Amino acid sequence: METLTIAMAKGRTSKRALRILAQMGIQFSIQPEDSRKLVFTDDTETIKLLQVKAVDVPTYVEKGAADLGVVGKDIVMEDVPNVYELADLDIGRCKMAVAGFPETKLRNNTTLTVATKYPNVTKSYFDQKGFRTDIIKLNGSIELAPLIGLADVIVDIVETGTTLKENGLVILEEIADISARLIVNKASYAIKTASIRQFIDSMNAEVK
Amino acid sequence: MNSLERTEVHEQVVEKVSQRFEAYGYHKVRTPAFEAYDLYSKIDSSIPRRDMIKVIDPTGEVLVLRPDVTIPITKELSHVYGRLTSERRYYYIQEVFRQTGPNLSPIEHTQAGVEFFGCSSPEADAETIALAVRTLKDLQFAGIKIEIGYPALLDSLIEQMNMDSRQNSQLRQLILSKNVAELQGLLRELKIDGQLAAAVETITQVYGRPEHVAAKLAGLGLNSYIDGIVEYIQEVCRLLEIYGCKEEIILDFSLLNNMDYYSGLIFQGYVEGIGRPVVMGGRYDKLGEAFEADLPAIGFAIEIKPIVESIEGKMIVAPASRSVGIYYGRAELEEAIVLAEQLRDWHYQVVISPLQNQEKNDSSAYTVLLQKEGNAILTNEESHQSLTTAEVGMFFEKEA
Repeated sequence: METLTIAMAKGRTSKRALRILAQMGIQFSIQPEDSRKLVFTDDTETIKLLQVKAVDVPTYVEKGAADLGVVGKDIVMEDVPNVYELADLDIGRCKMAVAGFPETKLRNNTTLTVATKYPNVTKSYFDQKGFRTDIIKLNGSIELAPLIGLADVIVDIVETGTTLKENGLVILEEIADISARLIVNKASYAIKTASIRQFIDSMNAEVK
Repeated sequence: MNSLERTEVHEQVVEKVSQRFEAYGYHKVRTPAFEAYDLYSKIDSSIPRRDMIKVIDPTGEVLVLRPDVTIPITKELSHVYGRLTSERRYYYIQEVFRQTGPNLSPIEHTQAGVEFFGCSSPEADAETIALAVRTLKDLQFAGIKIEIGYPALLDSLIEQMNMDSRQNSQLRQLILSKNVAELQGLLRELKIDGQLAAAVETITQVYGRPEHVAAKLAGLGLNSYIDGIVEYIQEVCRLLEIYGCKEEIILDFSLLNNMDYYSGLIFQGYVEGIGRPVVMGGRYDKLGEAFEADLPAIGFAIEIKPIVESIEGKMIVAPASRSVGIYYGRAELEEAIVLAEQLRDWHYQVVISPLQNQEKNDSSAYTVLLQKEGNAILTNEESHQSLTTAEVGMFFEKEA
């Protein structure tokens, strides 16, 4: 079988995704999560794994540096890369949501200030609802924004809701369900069709 | 290899591509670098307006740096012929300028393209696709794949769904990313009729060899319009087999238009080692109508830069077979000039330089040392020592 290169988001999903790969018979003698290496080859030398930052996964795949990528739907929604999205790994489940103080009412008669890591998703969500927004892009600790009056509400991914709760915030509206997805470079799909289909079938069999 | 030296690879690629285009009877044409903005704004959404590089001429007229070559060629032809009475085959190798993506991405792209006017048939389509395949083969690429689609097929199904523009673009995005799971969800949410929904799902998924795709579509029991398209494409594929392109062809009816002027068959080509399409093309029979002319046509463009970048890594740079480096001692400058001029007349490529610079220069096929201790000619295989200047001249005269 020809080699497939997979770009994988470092962090939470990586561990669970590696477990799925292991069930598919793709084993790594060096455990990627224990190592600081960035490139790994599996024991049969058919899979090359790149450990990259989650937001960079779509870039690696779109440009063809990796054939496949495992990344959260939140990042795919924000980036809208020109790739195929062929499988849902059913891991890293959470929600993209609008959150704020419980008493906050979302009204479209004033400009809403929204802090988020996902400005594109936020803009299109509120545009569609006919809301005027002022979007503030932040890279972390989004929950802080409403507390100190930087924003009226936030748009972020919510897993358990603990962080929101501890900061006195609640989900006001749900935007989308998020989970890890398998994305595929279009050129790779054309050239390595059989190998990629086989990989996806075997992955789907383990996910179900 | 630096970007200046890359020019050499670029020229080699361009030469190979031109030879192949000419072998299919294409004639080279050039179009102006500046075009009227109105020309492009007139043809609805062919190229996003914000992507074009605009300049203002002294009279206040807005011009654009050529964002595409197909439209000006079509316009020019429409001025000459309201209706074509004969076939026209043109090719171009030119820069196009577009500002796509983030601000830092390059705006200048060299494209090599062909436009085949005057014929709308499976034969013309097959010939054009075969030319694209042959050109990529000439460039020594492995794993060439051409995806062929026919956007009107899915468009005719989507039209029946009566969606608003937001739902439409959402649906198209899901089809483009072959995201069948979410596509099913959306179709269910919109309460699309079961048979129609099943057809769209199948078309999004089915991908591969022509016979496989045609069989899957036949099972859907769609209307005669769609059957006609499938039949047309099958005929194109049959002819492509005769051209020897069976291995390269993939059918994918979920390909959607990237240029709005395409109508009918479209295609895009991939090669191993380049992660995006290197060839894009399609039929644009309706474009002539924008200029009140009836000009059926098909064409494609090859992106030269990614090809050059991909090839240069694999190239072994050998010195040209007739390159000579003449290195002279302090007293031999005059002899070196006379010898160099003589060799240049015999069509050698000659550089002359003082002896101490020998290390600094690239190696050439022949190295000539002119020095007090006796002259020498060195090549990869042999060396001739203690020669007189006349003997050096005779050596090259013989080789010439």
